[in-house]
Amino acid sequence: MPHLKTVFSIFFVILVSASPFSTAVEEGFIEPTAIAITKEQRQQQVKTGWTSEVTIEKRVAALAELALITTDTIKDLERIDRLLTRFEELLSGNKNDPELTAAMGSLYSYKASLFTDNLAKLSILSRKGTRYMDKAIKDGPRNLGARLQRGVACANMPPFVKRAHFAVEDLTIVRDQINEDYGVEFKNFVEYFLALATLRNGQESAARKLWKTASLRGDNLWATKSKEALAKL
Amino acid sequence: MNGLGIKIALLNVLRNSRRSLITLAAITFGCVSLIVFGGFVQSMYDGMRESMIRSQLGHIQVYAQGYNQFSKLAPEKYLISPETLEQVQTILENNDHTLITTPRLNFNGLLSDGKQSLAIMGIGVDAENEALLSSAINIVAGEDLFPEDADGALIGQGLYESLNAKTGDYLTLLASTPDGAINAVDIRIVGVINTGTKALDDRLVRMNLKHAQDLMYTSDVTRLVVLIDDTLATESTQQHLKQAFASENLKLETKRWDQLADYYHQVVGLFDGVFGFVSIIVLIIVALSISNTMMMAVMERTRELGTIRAMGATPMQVVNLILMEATFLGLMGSTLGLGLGVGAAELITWAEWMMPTPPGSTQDYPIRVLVVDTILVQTYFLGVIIALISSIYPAIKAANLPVADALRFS
Repeated sequence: MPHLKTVFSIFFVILVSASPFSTAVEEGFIEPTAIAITKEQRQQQVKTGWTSEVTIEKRVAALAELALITTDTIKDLERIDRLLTRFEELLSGNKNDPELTAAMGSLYSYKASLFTDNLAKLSILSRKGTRYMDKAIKDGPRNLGARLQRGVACANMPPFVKRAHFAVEDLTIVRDQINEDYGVEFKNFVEYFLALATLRNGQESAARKLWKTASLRGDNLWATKSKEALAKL
Repeated sequence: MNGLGIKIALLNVLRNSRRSLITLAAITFGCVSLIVFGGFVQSMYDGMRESMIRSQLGHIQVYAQGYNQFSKLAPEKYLISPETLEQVQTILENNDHTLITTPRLNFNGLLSDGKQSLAIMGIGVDAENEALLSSAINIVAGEDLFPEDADGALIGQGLYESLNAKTGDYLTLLASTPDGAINAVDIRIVGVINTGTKALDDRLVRMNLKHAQDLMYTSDVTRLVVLIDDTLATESTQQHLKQAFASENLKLETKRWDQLADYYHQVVGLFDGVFGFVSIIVLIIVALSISNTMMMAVMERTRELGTIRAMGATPMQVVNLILMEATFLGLMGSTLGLGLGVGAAELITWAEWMMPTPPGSTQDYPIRVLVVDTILVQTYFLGVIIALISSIYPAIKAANLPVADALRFS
């Protein structure tokens, strides 16, 4: 579970850097919600969103606050619980929102990582988190935001929890849909985690190939990370 | 032994650093071995216990009175009615330790893929609560079961591999109803699960409770499984439930996880024996090593000990001196061993090295070494005591050296 802490940080930074998304995805697929890049911009989105009457803005605020929480070095349980309540309120108005459901699942999984000394809480929260993410994909198999949330989270989970195959499935779909239309760095980000998931799924040569491809594509953070991963392998 | 004696003993330990290091290494090795192996065994016990609780058993199971004794003959007579179930759930909701309760309807049946029929063990479950209770179960293909999957089912990995089917396919499930009739329903494979127990995975079908009740023509359940917040509170919670059931005049019986987990007790018994045996071997090695080093010390210091005796020291004072040196070595070695042992335990846990899949299981898991307070305390004192005991013979030998011979010794 400690892996999850870093996962979310990375995920949201990159998710944002790739936003706003264009409409290059295949028909029927739903693009992820765009949130701000910097901490200050996110704080502004949160401030504006929660005071707004418009549900879409509240939705963005919830996702931005999730990004803030998961990238913050201070782990504030009260803040997490407050956001979970807000997620529940938003979902009570629209139950069929896979991206928000998956985000809530991510937050539950993140919350679980704060209870490494309490197995009962850790396992229930972790299971609750993965269940929300699975439900999100079940309700919206073509929602790329939900796929990305679950894919990155599962790619970073330890192999023995056997969630890597979900990450491979989700991130493959995301990669195939986005291609390079959202920028080289975003594609590298997706492939980096796809390689990680593939490795944790026991397919070392496929992982090696993915990291090699990503490492040769441009000069950016995820190309460097892929190079490092390749060297370690 | 006065303050001067203690000082001389300490100086003697520090004076011959090479010899002291050899003794310290032996004690440290023993302490590290006991801490790491003890912590590993403890983590296995804990892991196995929690895995059983969180994949199948829960902490406490509630049944209709007589179920455990007579249900094999007439299972239909020992079911819990919806009214009783509601009462029990209310009692449990008022218990501070309760985390989750989930009803189950157990049945046996035949699962057919059109070409073959396989005997299965079916369980009707509350999809939401069961998923949270059975958090140790892994989904290896497909997806989780949700309440809206009216005809959905999760099937064990072994059973799935025996069938000519894939996720999303429909299969036919046949079972005998309580009144003896045969009924059949279609189920859709939504996912494949791995409980960690191969024998169970080869036969398991989990489906929504309503669908199982439709199949069995009943609205009753076989048992209510309870998960609490602390495994150590299981017995007190069971007592509380028994009293509550008695005061509400509910004809129910309960079983704790440890009363249902025979396999766990067998493994614990086996490992306790192995751990005891290994501990004895380690202690013998350490004791021999310390004894040997102390003998060497006595031999090397024969003239010195003879001089001490010639200056008026009694044999008992010489014994005390040697034993005091051993005590210092024991304290230093044990302290060092504790530090290194805790470090080694943390390192091994951090490394997440995988253990091979245990026999009868279908899940591999990373090695975890717990740092257990009682093991640390026991090991510390054991280190000191072993150092002391193994120095008794060299100390007596030193005390009994003839003074004149000792002074001439070269």
